[in-house]
Amino acid sequence: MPAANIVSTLIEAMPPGLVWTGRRMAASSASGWSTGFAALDAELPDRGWPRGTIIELIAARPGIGELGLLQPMLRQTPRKRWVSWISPPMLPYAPALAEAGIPLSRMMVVDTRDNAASLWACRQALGSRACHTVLAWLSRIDTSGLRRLQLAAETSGTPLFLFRPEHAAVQASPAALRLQLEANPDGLRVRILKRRGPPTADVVHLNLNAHTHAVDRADPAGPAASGHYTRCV
Amino acid sequence: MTGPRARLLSANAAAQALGVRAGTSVTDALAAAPQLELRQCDPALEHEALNTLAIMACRFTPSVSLQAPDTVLIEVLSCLKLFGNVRTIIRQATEACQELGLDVVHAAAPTPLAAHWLANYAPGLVVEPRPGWQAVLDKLPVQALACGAQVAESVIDLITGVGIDTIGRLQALPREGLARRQARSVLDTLARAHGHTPDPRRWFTLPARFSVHITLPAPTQDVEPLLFACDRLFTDLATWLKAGHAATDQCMLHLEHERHPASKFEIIAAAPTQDKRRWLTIARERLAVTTLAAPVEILRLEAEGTLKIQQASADLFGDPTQDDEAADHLLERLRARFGAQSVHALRTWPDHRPEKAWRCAEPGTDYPTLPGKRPLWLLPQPRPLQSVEAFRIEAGPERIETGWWDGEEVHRDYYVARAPDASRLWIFRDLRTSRDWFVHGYFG
Repeated sequence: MPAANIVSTLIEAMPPGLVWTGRRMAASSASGWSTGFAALDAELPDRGWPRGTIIELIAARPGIGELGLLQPMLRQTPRKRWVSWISPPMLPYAPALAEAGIPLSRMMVVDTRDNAASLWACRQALGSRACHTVLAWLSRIDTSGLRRLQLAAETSGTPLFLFRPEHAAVQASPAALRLQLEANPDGLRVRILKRRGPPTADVVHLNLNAHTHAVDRADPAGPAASGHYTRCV
Repeated sequence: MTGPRARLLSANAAAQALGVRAGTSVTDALAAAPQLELRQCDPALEHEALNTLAIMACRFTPSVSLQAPDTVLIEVLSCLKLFGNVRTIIRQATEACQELGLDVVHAAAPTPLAAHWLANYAPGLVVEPRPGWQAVLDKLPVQALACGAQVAESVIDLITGVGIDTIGRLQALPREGLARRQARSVLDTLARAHGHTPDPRRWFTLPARFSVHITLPAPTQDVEPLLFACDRLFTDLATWLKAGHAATDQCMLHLEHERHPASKFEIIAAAPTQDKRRWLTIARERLAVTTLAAPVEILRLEAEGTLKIQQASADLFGDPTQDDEAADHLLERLRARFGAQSVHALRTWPDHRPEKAWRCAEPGTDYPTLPGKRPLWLLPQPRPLQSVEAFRIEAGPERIETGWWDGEEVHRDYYVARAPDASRLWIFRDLRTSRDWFVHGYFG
């Protein structure tokens, strides 16, 4: 039996709470919103998208499946709240959003003139407390700008999904969660760059098709079906 | 009053220290204090201020009466139950006056005339309608009779001439004697002040259209002083709306320049409101992104077409409309800055051409939807592809051939393709002319 397994067997045999394992994640007071993918939820300290923080989604280019990742969350947009799309790089396509069961009337697309205006719009959207979530595509942002947004997100308890290019992965960021996304033949490969918990080198594979197509539409209000996944270490 | 007989209406503390009193003639005052700065009184401005005061008073009761040149009488007995007691009304009215920048004195009494006299000669007094309350009037000077021009000045001179200085002593005089000396008006006035005879008044009616202006002391182009003036205008507007129990979702701000035509700003809120801060925020955003052609001399604010609002009763379980308000507020802020077209929701549109199968929609409004198995991202313009050799076709073709009637005909075969980096694309081949390949969307 490998040594690691012996240790874990020993720990399990002891009364609970006696030994604290480094792998355990800090329990957060607020529970998160389920991402809709059980494999991803398991890796996140809040068991889902954390509330009131920046969540950075880093990808080489838009269109590789980042919206698919957010679909379960967008589907749960309550009435009277907005999902703000701040300067999206392409048109969020209404027929596909409708197909995914996302309420179109609560999507608020904001076309801004420049990066400064986008930042301003982000702050307004976060500060208003009227948003279920804010999605923003900023061409550039410095660390102090990020910190300001993080503060606005914390105060309002609204998550801000920031879509960032690949080179942003090396920039320091106050975001509570940073995910690097890559397309993969059967869905999306998610690498967790930063989370509130022990660092991980795990890569989570998500099958987006389970959500993009009719599989889920039979029960859009119920708990989102878990994505099919395999884990590689 | 101008000319040699002009008199001072009031003097500030510094002037009074030099021995200048209200009522002194201008010639005497200048002789006593040559450095005196004189300001001409402007009846039009005074009337405007009195109107503003009356509009403010309308929020408490519909029975408001103007008593030119400087008094507003309001009847509050009928609405005491709503406010609890008269002191609450006085406190709220005083706060509202401060907000309007008006310096006022007040008094309350069971008859309008008594209240008018007390406000002038014993400001701040509140007389409850108990039997024998009339005694407070006895100590007032005889000059009070002139308030509201009830009694001619010559008659008052006659009374003071015989050594009668207070209302109480006047009251004690034999009535027949007073009546014989052309002082019947004195008896009438006393009877009304004491509540022995009715004292009907003409009620003030709220103007149907709101229009106020502020002339700036010095023309300016800076945003901050303009916003400061706007704040005054919006306060007046909010006062007018509250008086009419109304709300409005738009008003017009005119900035008048000396030589250029006026700059007009339409201030549009997402929902009718009485809250001046909302308009101020919108005005701030509008002014921040506008370059004014010339310095502004006069600001004018106009509003009409208001909406009566239902007064919300205090709710045991919090305010259910709060969510809606925050949502509207955000929408109007963003629209004020970026324009209405730049902030929109989405809807589907019954058309087979992918670029026409969606439209911008009014946020918050539900429309029938036409879902389709389509990519989540659509490119605004299809992007030409050099070759499709690296792509693996996963589904298709789906032929879309339509639109011959409006000149934007499409003739395409759509495929779902997998790019070398494993992302899924929506590509098509233009069958009409060149048979070229294009990317039209991403299954993001």
